[in-house]
Amino acid sequence: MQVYAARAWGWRGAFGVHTWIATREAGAAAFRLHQVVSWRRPALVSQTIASPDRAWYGSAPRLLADYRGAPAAAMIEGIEAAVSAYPLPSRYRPWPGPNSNTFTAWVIRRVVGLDVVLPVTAVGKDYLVDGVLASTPGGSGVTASLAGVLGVTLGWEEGLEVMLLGLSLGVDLRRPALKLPGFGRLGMAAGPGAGGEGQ
Amino acid sequence: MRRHRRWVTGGGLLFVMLLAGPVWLLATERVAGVGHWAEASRAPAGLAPTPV
Repeated sequence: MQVYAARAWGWRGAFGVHTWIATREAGAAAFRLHQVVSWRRPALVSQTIASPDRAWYGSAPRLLADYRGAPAAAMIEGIEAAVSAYPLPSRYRPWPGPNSNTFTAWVIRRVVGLDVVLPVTAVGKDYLVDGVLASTPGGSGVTASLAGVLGVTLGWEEGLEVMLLGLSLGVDLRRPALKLPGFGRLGMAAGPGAGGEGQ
Repeated sequence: MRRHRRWVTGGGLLFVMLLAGPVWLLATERVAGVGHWAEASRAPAGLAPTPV
């Protein structure tokens, strides 16, 4: 089970990344890939694919999470259920959401054991579908957000992030780093592990 | 008046912090976007496990 991020195509890539989720049952030859894209209706697309790690239209993907073995197997059913239950499968709005990052964050929040710190450049991750308060995808904090435009996140893994106009900036004191729109993480790299954070 | 100036300065600084990264990335052409999107690379990055 893997979560990827890659810069969006064109000028949007200067602001943010696109994220997607890939799973593969033990022994299977192909992956299931779940993502929300702008050009399809419904925007939510689940497909069977041989290579979930393909470049996103010129941008190399980064691995945000990589669960294998029993922990991954235990999550796959939950991921499929969460994807099916995503309440906005036909909606896509690049800013401030709901977009691909809104979807990825929503699924991560709902799958027990799946903790992934999404990069600060994942515009739309803090667009909360179900209200104004939610746990962080990293699993150890809380996000308050008004329509994905104004918000704040505080978490053990995320540090402190303030979101204004859909763009987030923050600071991670645990692994000292600044988090800036566009640039992503500047400073100590995010820690290793299944739920690592990319830039 | 001084408080007003402080708010304006703070707001301006915040605005610069929000947009500095994206503007720099665009100015230095560090984002993929040249040519037609259908011709952009979709090559695997070698990050996915191979089937056993």
